[in-house]
Order: sequence, then structure tokens, then C-alpha cells
Amino acid sequence: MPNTRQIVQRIKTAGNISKITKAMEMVSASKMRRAQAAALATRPYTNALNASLQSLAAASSTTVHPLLTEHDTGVDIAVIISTDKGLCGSLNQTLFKETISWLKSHPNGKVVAVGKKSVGFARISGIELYAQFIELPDQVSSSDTIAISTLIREGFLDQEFRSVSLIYMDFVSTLVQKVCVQQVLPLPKIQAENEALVDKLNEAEYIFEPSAHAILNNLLPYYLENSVYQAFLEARASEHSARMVSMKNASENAGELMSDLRLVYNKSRQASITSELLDVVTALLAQDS
Amino acid sequence: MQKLTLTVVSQERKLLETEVESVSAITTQGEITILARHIPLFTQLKTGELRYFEGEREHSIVVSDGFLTVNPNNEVIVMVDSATLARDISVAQAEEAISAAKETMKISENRRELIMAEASLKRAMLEIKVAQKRGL
Repeated sequence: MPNTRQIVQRIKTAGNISKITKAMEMVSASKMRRAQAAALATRPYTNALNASLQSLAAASSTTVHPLLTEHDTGVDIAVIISTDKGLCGSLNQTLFKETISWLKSHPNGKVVAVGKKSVGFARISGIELYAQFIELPDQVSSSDTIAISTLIREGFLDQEFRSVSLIYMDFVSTLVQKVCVQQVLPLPKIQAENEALVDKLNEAEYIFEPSAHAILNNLLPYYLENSVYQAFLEARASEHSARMVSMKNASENAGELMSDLRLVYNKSRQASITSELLDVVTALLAQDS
Repeated sequence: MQKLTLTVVSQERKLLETEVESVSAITTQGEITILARHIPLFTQLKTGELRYFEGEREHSIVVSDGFLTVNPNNEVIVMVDSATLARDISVAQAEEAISAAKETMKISENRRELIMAEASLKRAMLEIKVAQKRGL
């Protein structure tokens, strides 16, 4: 039987750990709710942007913009959106696995690492970093992601990059996050979603000031920025929910450990009582006889 | 009198949605005022004041660069940019990120060299040991 005092110590330790993980779980839960709310709040802008792009695309049928056209020079870039902090389950590992398979299919690819974890990963596995962004604020706003979209846009326009993809964890639900590889540059062709809409737009006959083409040129960078920003919001929501779930598991495990240990403790206590009783009884019997 | 639905959105959230009589805004082409049943319009805004009449009361907000759309169903959508300040410093930030990455690459290269050197040193030591054993 292990020492009772040791067992008591271990029960205490497990209890302290479960207190910490419980607190972290609650913090992550509130951050997750905030991240989800932030992702929902951007919907009006995204909708307005998409609607404008569609009507613009319908109006100026020849949409030749450098951000839309493919070119052959330059390297392929992947932006990995990882976390700064750990303790979020297998989230980052899943991301890195996807990055490795992306690098296999893009042998001359370079990586833009976002978050300390992906910087560390690139260092260890010898992946060539093009740029790194660490310690972005927890409540990410669109101004925080502008630097990244500027970087990829300039690189793409200078023909330094051939294509740019984002690799991030897409938030499906609190329990499920799926890795997502999304190509953002060259921008996917904007097409009016259905014929009826095009007809309606043509009927309405919009006036464009200064011109449809000029507005489209100015609007496309916003479209790029918005897709980068959206990816960030998804990644943040995934991070917090993954952390919440793993902390919940940790608290549950600590609780289980505590109840197991308590059983061992009680058994050993009982054993010592029994053996003491035996001693007393034997001594009494010896005296009597 | 027919009313307009004015919606102001930024990247992060919806800033305003209200029923108004008229909207005045400064576009790249000059100031315009939109009343109900305005022709569908698509235009670009300059940083400045956006004024609107809600009943008799006039309100005014400051908007940054953005876009204004008038839809056929008396809907005015203003998309503003909440990140104009960040845009000015974004190029510098991007360059910083690139140089930070170069720094990381350098450090990790040094570390890898260190590990390689250590490995070859260990190997050399082993070889010497083996040679000494054989020599004996």
C-alpha cells in the first residue's frame, strides 16, 4: 500500500490542476462566445460587399484586374493562421499536417506564419518563412489584418507570388473544427449568382460614378481584406472552442483521477485500521489465555 | 412621403440602420443628396460628413473612405472603412514581418548548424573510442 500522506498530496495536486483548468475553460468559453459574435457581426458588410461586386461585375462585363488574373512567375504562398498560445488540443497539429501536405504539392512554396506556434513549427521543420506575424490581439479587428493583406496583395501585384492560399481552422461547431485551405489570390472570378439577379440589375440600370470599372478597382482590395479578416475570425473562434473543449476534458480527467485516488486512500486507511484492530484483538486474546 | 432605409456598415459590424427622409454625402465627384425614389446609384465616398434627416431632425456622422449604393427599393447602403489608419502603416508592418521572419530563419539556421556540429562531434568521439579499443 502506498504511503497515505503521498496519496493525500496527489489528491491535492489533482484538485489544484482541476481548479486551474476549470478557470481556463470558463475564460475560453467567454472568449469563444465573443469570437462567434464577432464573426456574425461582419455579415452585413460581407453581404453588402458581395452584392456590390456582383452588380459591378454584371455592369462591367470585361473585368480584367491584376488581382483577378493568373500569372506564372513567382512562388506560391501559404498563410498559416495558428495560435500564439498552446493548450488547445490538436488544433495546431492538424494545421501543420495540412501545411506539410500543401508544401508537398507546392515544392517551391513559402510560408507566412501567423502565431507563435507556426513560427516555432517552421523553425523546427526547416520550412522557409517569408514573413511572420505574432501576438495579434485576441479580439482581432480588421485593422490588425490589414498588414497581412497588404503584404500578399503587393507581393502578388509585383509578380513575386503566383498564388496565395490561407490555411486555417474553419469553425464548424464548438466540438468540430475543420482545416481549410482557401485560395485568395488570384481572386476567384466574381459571377452573378443567378440569372434573375442579373436581369433585375440590368433593369434597374445603375449609375456608376466615376465609372463601374474604377469602382471595381477600388473595391477589389476590400474584398481581399475581407476574406483575410473572415479567415482570422474563424481561426479565433476555432482556437477558443478547441481550448475550451480540451480544458473541459482536462478538468474531467482530474476529477476522475481524484476519485480514483480517494478510493485508494480510503482502502489504505481501512487496511491500517483493520491491522491495528487485529493487533489489539490478538494482544487481548494473548492476555486472556 | 416615401422614406429611405439608411444602413451604414463597417468591416466589423453594422453601425446604423434607420429610416430617413434624405441622405447627403460627399462623393469623389462632389456632394450629393439622395431623396426617396432616387435612381439606382453606385459611388465612392470621400472622408467627410454624412448627414441625414430623420423626420425633422438632422443627424450627422463622420465617415471615412467608402462606398455608397442606392438600390431600387429605396435602400441606401454605406460601406465605410474602419481601418483607414491601419492602412497607412500597413506597408511598414508588412516589411517588419518579413525582416522578423528572416531573423527567425537565421536563428534557426544557426541552431541547426549547432545541432549538426554537435552530432558530428559525437561521431568523431565515437570513432576515436572505437579506434582506441581496436588499438588495444
